[in-house]
Amino acid sequence: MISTQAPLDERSLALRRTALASLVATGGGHVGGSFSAMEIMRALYDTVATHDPADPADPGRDRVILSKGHACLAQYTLLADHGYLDPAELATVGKRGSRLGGHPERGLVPGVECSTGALGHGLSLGLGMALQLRRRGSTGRVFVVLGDGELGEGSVWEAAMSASHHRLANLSVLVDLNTLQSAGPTREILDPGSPAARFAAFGWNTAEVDGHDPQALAKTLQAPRAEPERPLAVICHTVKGRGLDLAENVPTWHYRIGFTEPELESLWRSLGADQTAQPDSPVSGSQQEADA
Amino acid sequence: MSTPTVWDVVHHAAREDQRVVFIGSDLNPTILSGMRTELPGQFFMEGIQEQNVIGMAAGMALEGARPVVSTISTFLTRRCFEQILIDIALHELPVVLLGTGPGVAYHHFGPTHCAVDDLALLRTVPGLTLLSPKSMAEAAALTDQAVRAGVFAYLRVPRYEPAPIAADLEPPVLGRAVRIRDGHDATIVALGSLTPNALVAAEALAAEGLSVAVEHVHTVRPLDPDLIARVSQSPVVVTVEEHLRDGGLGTELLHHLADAACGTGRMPRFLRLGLETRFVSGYGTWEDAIAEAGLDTAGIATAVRTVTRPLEIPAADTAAVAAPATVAPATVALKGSPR
Repeated sequence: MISTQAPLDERSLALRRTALASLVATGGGHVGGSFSAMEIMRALYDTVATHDPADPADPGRDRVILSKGHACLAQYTLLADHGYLDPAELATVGKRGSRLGGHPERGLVPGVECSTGALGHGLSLGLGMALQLRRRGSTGRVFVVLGDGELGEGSVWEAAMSASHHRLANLSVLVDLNTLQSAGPTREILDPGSPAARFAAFGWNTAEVDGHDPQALAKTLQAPRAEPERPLAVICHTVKGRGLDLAENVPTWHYRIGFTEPELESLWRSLGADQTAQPDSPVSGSQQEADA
Repeated sequence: MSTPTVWDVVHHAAREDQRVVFIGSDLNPTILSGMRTELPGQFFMEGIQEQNVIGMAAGMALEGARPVVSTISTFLTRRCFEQILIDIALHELPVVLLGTGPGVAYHHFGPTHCAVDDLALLRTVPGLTLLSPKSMAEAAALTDQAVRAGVFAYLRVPRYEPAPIAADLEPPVLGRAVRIRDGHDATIVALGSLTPNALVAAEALAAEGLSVAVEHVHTVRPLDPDLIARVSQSPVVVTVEEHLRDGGLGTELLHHLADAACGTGRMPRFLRLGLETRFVSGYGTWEDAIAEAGLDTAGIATAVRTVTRPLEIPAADTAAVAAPATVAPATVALKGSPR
């Protein structure tokens, strides 16, 4: 069993404070899945993916697709931290005039590769991109972040079969295995069994890792593969709502509108800040990881 | 040299432009076998997984490809509707969808294979050009224009070759309807495969003294504004299509004319001919299904004859004004009643 209980480091706490400030400013959002996916997005943007905030369309970049688009607050937080967005924009998510929606849209948000929100689309889009990158002789890689509830979509498995068939070594999947979906525990709603075993059965390289350990995530994504010509699925064991005492593993915190004063006090305290504190700037990502 | 097919067009376009790729979903191995041999890097024959095939095409297009995707019309439109809408349309990508066996071409295969609702489904997709040509030659020309221009399009690939008509003389132009016969009593607006039937019906009606114009349409969306302007002047408009009466060409044109009538106050008597909203029953040939739905030459002529009858509206009886619109459909609907 992979432990998910190692303490969050200061950067992870700071990223969460930024995300919480956005939630407070906008009145709510998809709390649980955004906070479970935070280190997955952090590992990709800080360490693993090649990208340039000054040139989001750089042809040689790696592509990050957040198929579970409802967790876009995690993506927006990392994009703002890396300079794709003005951090002040995080207070406008879903509001009139904002370019940041409740699900991410390509063309509106720099750094967002695909418009997602309807589940089960990201892996097919990613495999098509990986195929075309290979045709063009590009070294660019494609990383697709899926939710574990999303594994119920049949199209995910169509794409899994196809990606393996096409031997797309430049394609990786990261499953945010937080074990909860909107209606309750995935095991009770639609049991995904062992996603690693299922991807392996579809001909993928697989690995399992603590999805809140950015160093372990990066190491896993960068490690040599047993079958170098096959795609890689990394099953990221996570906790839904991670870092927020009130929200961790609580299904009703999948999506929240409005917070009471006592809730706000608890949420800020969980992240090592008091309610009156202004959200701070997260420690520089790439520098932090380089120091680690 | 034989008339080029849509497949020839795709092969040729791929030869000229490396961005053009063909993606089929479990198609007959003879389709584009030459391209498979000559341009293997641009030919993808995928499995039976329409959702993934559309997503894959969109992903390739996001990285600069110009995909042409093909499978049977019903599977290409129903099962992967959300992928067409979100993956292709929302990203505004240049993907051409070629639906084979459209309309009632697969009548003998039963309701799972009769694509009589494809246009209705796809009319709601933003930015999608909807094409229903009458012949393979017309389909090839329109496919060529769509691929070269990077248009997001769905095209119904004809399965049968109708008898040539005068309009064959002019190369088709994407988005343009063609007036192939003049007339002042009524206008038949025919979609693709049924234009020949409409033309023969108009000629038969001429012998009875009815002057009936015929417009040939291959582009349902965006509908030719000149067509809308022309038919708005006609006292009677009858649309004819190998599709549900609701949701296809007739509905598209009706909406445009109703919008125009808000400004002019003038609305032609309007009859939509097509299939009723129910599963195509029984099996048989294309001709069987077309006749059953009242879309053969005799059926079209009967409908036009009925709808061009003078109105009998008692003076000052405003309630009766609404009635005539129901007269013709009630009459012709008998043709399409369940067996």
